[in-house]
Amino acid sequence: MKNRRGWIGDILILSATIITIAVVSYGVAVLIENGKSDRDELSEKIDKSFTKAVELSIRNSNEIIDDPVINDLIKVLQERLKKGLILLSEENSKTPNITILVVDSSTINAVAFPGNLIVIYSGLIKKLDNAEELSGILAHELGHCVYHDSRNALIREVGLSIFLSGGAGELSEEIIRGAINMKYGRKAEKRADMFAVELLAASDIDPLYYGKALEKISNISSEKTPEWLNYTDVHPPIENRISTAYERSEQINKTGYKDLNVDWQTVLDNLPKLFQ
Amino acid sequence: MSDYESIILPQSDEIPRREREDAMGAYLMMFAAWGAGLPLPFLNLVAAGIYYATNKKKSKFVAFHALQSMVSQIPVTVVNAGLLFWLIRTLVKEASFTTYFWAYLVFVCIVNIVYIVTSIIALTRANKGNFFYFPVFGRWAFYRWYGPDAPNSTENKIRKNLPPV
Repeated sequence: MKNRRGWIGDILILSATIITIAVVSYGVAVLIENGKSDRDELSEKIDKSFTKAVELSIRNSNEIIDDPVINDLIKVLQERLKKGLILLSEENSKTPNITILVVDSSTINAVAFPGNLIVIYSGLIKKLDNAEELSGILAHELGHCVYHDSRNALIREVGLSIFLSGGAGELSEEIIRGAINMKYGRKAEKRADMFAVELLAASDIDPLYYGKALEKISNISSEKTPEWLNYTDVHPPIENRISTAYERSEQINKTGYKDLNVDWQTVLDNLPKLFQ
Repeated sequence: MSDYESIILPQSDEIPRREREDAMGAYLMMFAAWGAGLPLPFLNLVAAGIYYATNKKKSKFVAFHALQSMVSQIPVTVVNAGLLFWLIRTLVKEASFTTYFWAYLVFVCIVNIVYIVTSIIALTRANKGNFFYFPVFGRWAFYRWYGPDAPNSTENKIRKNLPPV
């Protein structure tokens, strides 16, 4: 092929065009990223107003346990886990400001709401054997808070309008119920499981307690999940979650764990007797 | 005068209406396949390949435009496929979108806009019976159909009769 100058000219024109487009693209992407902090700030504001509305709604429709022993338990858990959160957040982002409510209910569950609000049902506390196991479940819910799983799931299921209505302080019971039954997806659950194990270890709590807590919860249901349902359920099979939690706990090469020194029997004695 | 400059090209008034339309069709085909094939980025390339294979024998002018359209789509298709792959991978892994992803997304958008504008110019020029050369791809397509080694090239025939060494 002759006319080398023509070829060189063509290649130079094409290269210059591609480089210019690439530089402009990177510049635009950096501008997008710079705008992200503003968006995060806005998300935080929306989360805060949503949390207030959810908290109010939960307080109105549920019996919130306001007992000094239970409050102390939550304080002890929060303080210890916060230590781990600070350690982990050095690599990730800033530590979330968590609000925890204990609701008197036979439900054996804990739920993370958008805006770093975690609700623990007394049924769950009664099912567990010590504060360390409860800290494992709390660490799992904290994982959902850190990764904004509840906010993302709610937007996915209900739409962005939920946050706008939450901001206006008009939050329907249906939305709260929707949030309680929210499905985060398998990936999010796995990620929160891993986060729980890491957080317990970082908080000087033996991460094996998380696996134990999962075992206690899995024993609740006497009915075995059919094999085929495991493929469609958004939660990974509980057996897998337990074994993965134990495996990851054993992989963490750490010693010197300190118990929380909570008198669990006193905690159980101070829970309302309505739901046994 | 070099071999390159001595190539005699047909002028617009010498190119029949039918050939102009077929040449323009190469770019129109790309747009149609693009619209129909979204979000699969390879369908337009398949359509361009079929168009080139079926129309290249009609005339050199048509073959040039069809080849230029097809070859120039290859890098654009690869770039678009890369974006699709990156997007699916991020969504499946539930990972976050990085600055590099946003940069690549903007890059792909601009490349596609530039390519569409260039193709529209080529399309109108082909319809008028004119040549329009994309950088590199246009030159390559031109050599393929009008260069000394092109099929049925008069240049090729001339070059075979050489004076005694």
